[in-house]
Amino acid sequence: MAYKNYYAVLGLERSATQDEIKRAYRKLARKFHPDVSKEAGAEDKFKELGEAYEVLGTPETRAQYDQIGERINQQQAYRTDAGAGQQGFYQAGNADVDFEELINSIFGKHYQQQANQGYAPAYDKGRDIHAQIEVSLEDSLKGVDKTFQLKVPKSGSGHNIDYEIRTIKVKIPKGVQDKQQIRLKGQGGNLPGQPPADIYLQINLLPHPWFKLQDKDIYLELPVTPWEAALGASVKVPTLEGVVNLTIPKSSQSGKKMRLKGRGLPGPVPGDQYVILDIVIPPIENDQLTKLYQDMANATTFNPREKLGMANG
Amino acid sequence: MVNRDGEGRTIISEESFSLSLDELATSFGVSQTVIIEIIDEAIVPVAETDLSVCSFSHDDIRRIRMVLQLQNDLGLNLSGAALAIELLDEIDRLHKIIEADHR
Repeated sequence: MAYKNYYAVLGLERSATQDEIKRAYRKLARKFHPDVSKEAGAEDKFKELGEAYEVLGTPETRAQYDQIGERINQQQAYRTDAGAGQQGFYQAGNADVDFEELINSIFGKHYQQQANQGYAPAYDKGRDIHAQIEVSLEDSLKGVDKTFQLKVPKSGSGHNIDYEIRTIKVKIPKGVQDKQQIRLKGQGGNLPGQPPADIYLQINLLPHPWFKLQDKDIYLELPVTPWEAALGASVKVPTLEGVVNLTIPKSSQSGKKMRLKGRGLPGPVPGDQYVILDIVIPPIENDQLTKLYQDMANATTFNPREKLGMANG
Repeated sequence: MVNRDGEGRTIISEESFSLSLDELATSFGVSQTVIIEIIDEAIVPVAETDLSVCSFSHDDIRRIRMVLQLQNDLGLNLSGAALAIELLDEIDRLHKIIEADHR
């Protein structure tokens, strides 16, 4: 396990005081809390912050961690001075082993397993497990099988509960919406003398680069050329289920809203897709285009600012 | 420690469910008093005067989990968690307005 710079995680220098460590952690924990932050990767960042604070927040574990860091610094200096000798690599390897031992002593042996991809963060202080899982819009449309890992209680009671990492494959229902909860009955582990626990999964729909979701409806801003808007055209439009042809009527204005019925998220009442036209002029001018604009200007007395009481020119 | 028994078998999820006050408390591992305090903070709306006959929806479950998680992770008290949730709701609402305006 490679050595991690926890000071950098908290944005601090090695000389930081315990108070500075506490303040940096609290400020960043608020910023990256998965229920608060909308930033991509907030969940991982929050976990990393917790790990950094667990190590640096207690002077004893911080001292152990600093010793390992000090040895790595010395080895790097040695390698710079003497070239990348074999001995230097060997010692760096040892520091990584020491780091792994320190982490295991603080977090327990299964910590790294939890860091595996697909591990769902969970509130597990009750009988049931309340976890969150990220799902793409495409997955919500099709209703895919999703595999993730959860720490579930296996045996014991009170404060002495043994946990296991369980791989769970769940059918994400079609048309699932953002922040919707789904329940996996009896899948949250089974302690002796207690009924099987449930898992509650909160679905967090991932933002899509161009589709915006509102309830079950999908909105798409569609760039069109001035001549497509003016003359009318048949253009290809992406939907979650693939490309469709859309007829743009003659004299369409920017902002015109068009509906593709039933092209939103599925459900008893399926959502629609709304296409909003956005007229875009060609970014590169050429002489012919400039002349065409000039001809257009000469051919019309159209004043788009009439309502504002402004005359042309 | 990865349990391989369940692998390969797809678990079917339930979409339609609600919980009673008692089920909520058991599920989150807190006393009913804690849930009632959350209700009294007006974080979760209730239609009934008698809480023992109330059923709590998906969104109620989500809000209660958030309160408990924020208390646990950030050390917020109940009023602080309520304020955070209201501000997050407000941010969501404003985001929707910005997106609608952009359209």
